[in-house]
Parts: sequence; C-alpha cells; structure tokens
Amino acid sequence: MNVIECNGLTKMQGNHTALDQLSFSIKEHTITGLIGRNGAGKTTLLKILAGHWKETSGEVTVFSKRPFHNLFVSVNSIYIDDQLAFSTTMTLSEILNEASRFYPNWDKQLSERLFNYFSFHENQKHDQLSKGRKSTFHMIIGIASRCALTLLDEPTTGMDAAVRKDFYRALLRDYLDHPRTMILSSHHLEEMEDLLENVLLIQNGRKYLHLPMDELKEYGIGVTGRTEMVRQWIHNKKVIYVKEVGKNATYAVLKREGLPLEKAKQLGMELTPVSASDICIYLTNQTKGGIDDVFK
Amino acid sequence: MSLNNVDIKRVIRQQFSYKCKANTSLFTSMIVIQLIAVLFSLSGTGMIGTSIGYNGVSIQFYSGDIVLVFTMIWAFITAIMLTTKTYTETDYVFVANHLTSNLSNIAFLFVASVIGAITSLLAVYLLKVVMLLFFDHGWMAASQEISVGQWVSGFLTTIFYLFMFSAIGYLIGQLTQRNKLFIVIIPAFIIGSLVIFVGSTILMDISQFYFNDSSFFSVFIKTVGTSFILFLISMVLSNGQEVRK
Amino acid sequence: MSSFNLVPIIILIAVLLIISSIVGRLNNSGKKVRWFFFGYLSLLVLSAIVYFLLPMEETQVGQMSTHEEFLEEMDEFYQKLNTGELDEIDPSYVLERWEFAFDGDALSIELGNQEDLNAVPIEVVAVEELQQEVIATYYQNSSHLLGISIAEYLSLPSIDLKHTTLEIIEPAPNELYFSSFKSTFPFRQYSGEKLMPDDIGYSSEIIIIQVPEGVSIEADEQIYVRE
Repeated sequence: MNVIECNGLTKMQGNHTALDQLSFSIKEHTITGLIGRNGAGKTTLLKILAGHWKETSGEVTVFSKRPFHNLFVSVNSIYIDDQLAFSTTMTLSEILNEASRFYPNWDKQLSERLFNYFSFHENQKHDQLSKGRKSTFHMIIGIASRCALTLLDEPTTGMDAAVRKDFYRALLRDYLDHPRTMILSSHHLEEMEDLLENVLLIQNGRKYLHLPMDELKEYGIGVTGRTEMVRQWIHNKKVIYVKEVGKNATYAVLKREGLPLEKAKQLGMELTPVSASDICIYLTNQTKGGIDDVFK
Repeated sequence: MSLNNVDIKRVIRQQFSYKCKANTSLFTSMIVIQLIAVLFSLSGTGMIGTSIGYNGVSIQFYSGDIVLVFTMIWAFITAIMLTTKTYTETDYVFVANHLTSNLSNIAFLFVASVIGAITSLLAVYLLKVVMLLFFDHGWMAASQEISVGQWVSGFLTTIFYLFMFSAIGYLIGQLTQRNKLFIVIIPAFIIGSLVIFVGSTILMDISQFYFNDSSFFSVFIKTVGTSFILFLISMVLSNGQEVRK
Repeated sequence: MSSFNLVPIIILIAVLLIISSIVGRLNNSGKKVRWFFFGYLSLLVLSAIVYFLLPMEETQVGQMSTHEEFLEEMDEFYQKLNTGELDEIDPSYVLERWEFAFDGDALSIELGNQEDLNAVPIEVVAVEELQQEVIATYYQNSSHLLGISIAEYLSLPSIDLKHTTLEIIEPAPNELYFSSFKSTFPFRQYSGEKLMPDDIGYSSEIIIIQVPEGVSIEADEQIYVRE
C-alpha cells in the first residue's frame, strides 16, 4: 500500500519553482531518506506532505487524501524540524504533556525515558535550549508520537556526533517495534546509510533518483587511471563526475549499469566503489568540476 | 500502524485547552492595562458645577468606563496577536487545520472576553476602595438601584462588547496576514473615513446602534450577530491560507 | 473635603512600577504568570469585600424633585410669603434662624462684604404681631444634590444686631466637592442612568427679615423692603 503518492507535483513560490513535476510514491512501513542540496525543495515537499503548504499543481495524496489542511492526515502524521514554535510560558514537560493529548498513539513512557536519557529538566523552557538541544527535544516528540507518517526535516541539526548516533539508534529501535512510514531529510547521508531503506534524491525541485539503498550503493563506480586513458574510456559513457588527481591521473565516476568493467581493469584502471553519500553529492553537483574550478 | 480516525470536536477541545495554557502571558498585559486604566479613572470621567447660596458646588463623576474601554482595546489587540505568525505556528506543531485553529481561537477569545469582563467589573471596586481610602471627598452614591435583571444584562453585554471587539481585531489580523498591504490600508481607511465623515453623524450613529440600545435582546442580536459575521469573514479569509513559516 | 489628593496617585504609580518589575521578572514562566493572575484576581475580590465592609456615609439616595415639582414648591412658598403666612411654611425650609431683641424705632440693615449681586436675595417684612424683636430666617427649599441633602455642608452668612444696625456678613468663599460613582456603561445602558445627569438638583434660597410694624427701615439698595 502506498502511503504517499505524488503525480506531477509542482510548487511555485513567487516566480521560483520549488518543486517541478515531482512524481513518486512511498510504500507503507519504509524509511526513506530525502536527500538533496540546500534549496533542492526538501522542506517544501515535506511541508506539502504534512498539509501545511498547498501544492500549486499536480496531485499529492497522503493516506489517499489530499493533505492540505486535512485533519485526518494531521492526526496521523507529524512534521518535525528545528523551528517548531512553542509558547514561551510552557515548560518542556508541559509541552510533552500537551503533545500526548493530541496524538492517540503517544507513548508516554518512551517520551519520559528519552527525556531523562538526554537529561532534560522538567522546568526548562523551550526558548532557552540551544540549537542541538532543541533538535533533540523535537526528536523525542517525533519518535514518541508514533505517527503513521513521521516527517523529519533535518532532524539532526546542531546535534553533536554522540547524540546523532543515539538518535538514529533510537529511531531504528522504535521503528522495528512499531513500524511506520518515515521520511528523513538530510544531507548527512553517510550516517543514515544503515537506517534508510530507500533514498529519494531531488535536485532543483525535480526527482533525480528514487532507489532502494542497496541499489544506490551500487549505482556508481569510480575509475582512476592515466588522464588520457580515462578521458578516452569515458567518452560516450554516462559520466557523473571527473576530477584530476595528482599528476597525470584522473578520477571519474560513472553510472555502473552496463559498463564493460572487465575491459577497464584490463586497461590498467583502478575500479573503486562509490559510497551512497558520495554518489549523491556527485549527482547533485551543479557543474562537473566542483568548487576547485572556481579557483582556476 | 493502523490509522487513527479523527474527531474534529475533540481536536478543537484539545487545541482550546492547549491555548489556555500556552497563552497565559496575554493576561499579564490585561492586568497591566487595567491597572493603568484604574489610575486614569482616578481623575474622574466628568464634572458638573453649580452654586447653592453662597457655596460653589462641584460633583465629580467616576465610573469604570475607562477600565472597560481599555479592556476592549486589550481584547482587540489580543485577537490581532492570535492571528500573527508566532501564535498560529504553535497551532500547527500538533494536530490542526485552519478550521480547528480558527474555532479554538474564537473559543479562546470568548473565554478571554469573560475573564476581561469579570476583572474589569471587579477592578471598579479597586478604584472605589482606593478613592474611599485616600480621597477625602464627600460621597454621593447617587447611583440608581440596579435590578438583578439589569445587572445580569449589563454583565452579559460587557462580555459581548469585549467579544465583538476581539472579532474586529481578529478580522483585521487575518486581513493583514493575508496581505501585508492591509497594515497600511486599514489605518488609511480609518483616518480617511474620519476625514470624509467629519461633521457627519455616521460614527455617532454606529456607536448609538450598539451602545444606546436598552433592549437586551436587541443588543444581544446586534453584538453576537456582528461578532459572528466578522469571525465568519475571518475564517473564509484564512481558508486556503498556508501555514506561514 | 479637599479637592484632590496626590497620595493615591503616587501610590498607584509606585504599584504600577512594582508590577511592571514583577512582570519583567515573570520570565514568562507559566507558573509565575498564573500566580500573578490569581494574585491580581484576589486583590480585586479583596477590594470588593473591603468596599462592602467600609462604612459609607451619605449613600442614601433620596428623592430628587423634577423641575416642575420644584417650580410648584416655589410658587407655594412665595404665596405663603406674600400672604404673610410665614408660620405655614414647611419647617424643613428653614436652614437657620436668628432672633434679636429690638426696641428701637429705626433699623438700618447693612450688607457686610457682599460683592456678589446674585447671591441670596434679602427681603424685609413688617409683621404686626412682632413685638420688640427682629427675626432673620434663611429659607432654602431643597438643598438636595442628586437627591442627597447637603445642607450640613453649606456655609451660611452670619447675621448680627449691633444697637440699631443689623449686619449681614457673607461667608468666606466655600467650594464644596462631591464625588459620585456611576455604573459602567453597559449597565447604564439598561438602567437608563446617565454618566452625567442633566439635572443635579434645584434650589432656591432667600433671607427674610421680620421686623415689628412701624419700625423705619434704612437698608442697602440690594435689599428689598416690602411695603
């Protein structure tokens, strides 16, 4: 069953096309990583799915319903980012208490345990928390609410490495006990590789890739060799990234599918796997060169 | 995970109780405003002078009018505040749509109007006690006996006036949220109409329409009807609006 | 009955300053904000209780006569005055009476420091039955303001007889200040009361000086001597 279906989803913000003819679907009980550069349209997509923003054209359904201002979608989904607004008069424990009243599946015990584990104090104020602490607190709400659709927009903003690790672990543990559909947007893909089942890569509001994690890991192949040879070999092939490394040597990333890899080996080129994180970065590079080209 | 069905009435109730807890600081400003109004009221709201024989006589009239007018302004501003980004965003952290957000705001404004009515009536006693204890005036109660029926009507009307002013504020807030241009248009419209209607009785007529009617039923219809229409327009305006962020 | 007192205003400003500093220190803590609110509410309830316990003077609301009633009373009063039926006049109209023994043939009546021509009119009446006596009476019908008698606060002239001269001395300027509390406007809307009434009361006063018949009067020109 598909929890989310988008068909030609387009969102205009003024003259800027934030989402451009986006079509994809997300199955029930999966964790999807929404990957893209800054400004790719990740937040826009999540806000539309959460029902906060309205699509300009195209079709979008969540639980087979149009999400915009839909109460059914709202009660079965939660949108978490680092900018959640709370009353300045309420303490953290009061906020959790209110949240528990809104979400029918709320696990009070879990929220209290996480609250204590991350050493929050009952009487602390939300606006006194640092950026990372805010993210951690929001994450508690995101996990404990146990919404059928959990949308986490850059959930780890400001968290330190240890907390990030704990967060991914907590998310996975609770997901295994209580399967649900999750979308995490991030640009730290390498940390989430073990967590994600699918990756939705978007660029300039367009879908670039929507693949299972395993396939993404196999998507590209790195080729290193003498510059002329590499240049010649990659001619007429699907090149994702090219970079000169050292003297008279070039590193190129190509789409693995259909490549005569044995021949490359015979030609003396070194083949290396490309991590999912790197492939996403290479795929979404605006130019084939990278930042170094700026300084040429 | 099975999906939960949603009961709109339950969500409105939850949001309303959430707002009552989250927006307590709005009442701090009400208290300050009422105390300032009590201070202003000490100079009296009117004076009549005459002479009797060899004596000059002045009667200074005091009332809680300023306190209530200030509380009405507070209700107006509070309603505008509820439509601002800071307050609407807190709604959408949890379960909400524009209908539940608006209806729980209206419920909150009604409760705020009741609290404003009770405190502004009680604040009059604070004013009276301050004057009795510190002012060495000759006192004339000289207030007509008010029947229980009149008192109840007066109290309910106080609530309705506050509620109506919050409805005006809510509409203005929604207009400015919809288009920032209204921040300029509304004051310009008010000042412009004051200039155009200078010498005309239209403003007096409007205030007479609401404030000079001695039939409770008629006042009830006018104030509650006006509030209903204003809130309805606000809700239609906010329908289809995105959550701002 | 001093007009204005700075003390409460200073106190209230101080209270406001204290409260604004409390508000500043509330630090938006929900608990403190709630305590502040309930503190305010109890202050208000307390003042309501204190108000009802305070001994209030002159809270009695009397009957305030209308202008027509007042004119009627005046007609009746002057009729009795003109027909010499002074004894018939309602004793409540008499605010003060001065009686002096007098056995002369001529009486001169002088106004002390009177400058205000519109002040209380004075009439001299010769009375047949009066023997060796001069009586001055200050009549006032209705010293009611908003239905409350303020007679006891009024300053009256002092009248004294020295040999053959009756001297009437106007009191020092006296300003009376009263305060009246009105209901808030939604209540007035139904009770029909006005914040400031159109009429606060009517009063008319006159000083009548009764002298025995045959006494020749020499009076200031402002004093009306009945023939």
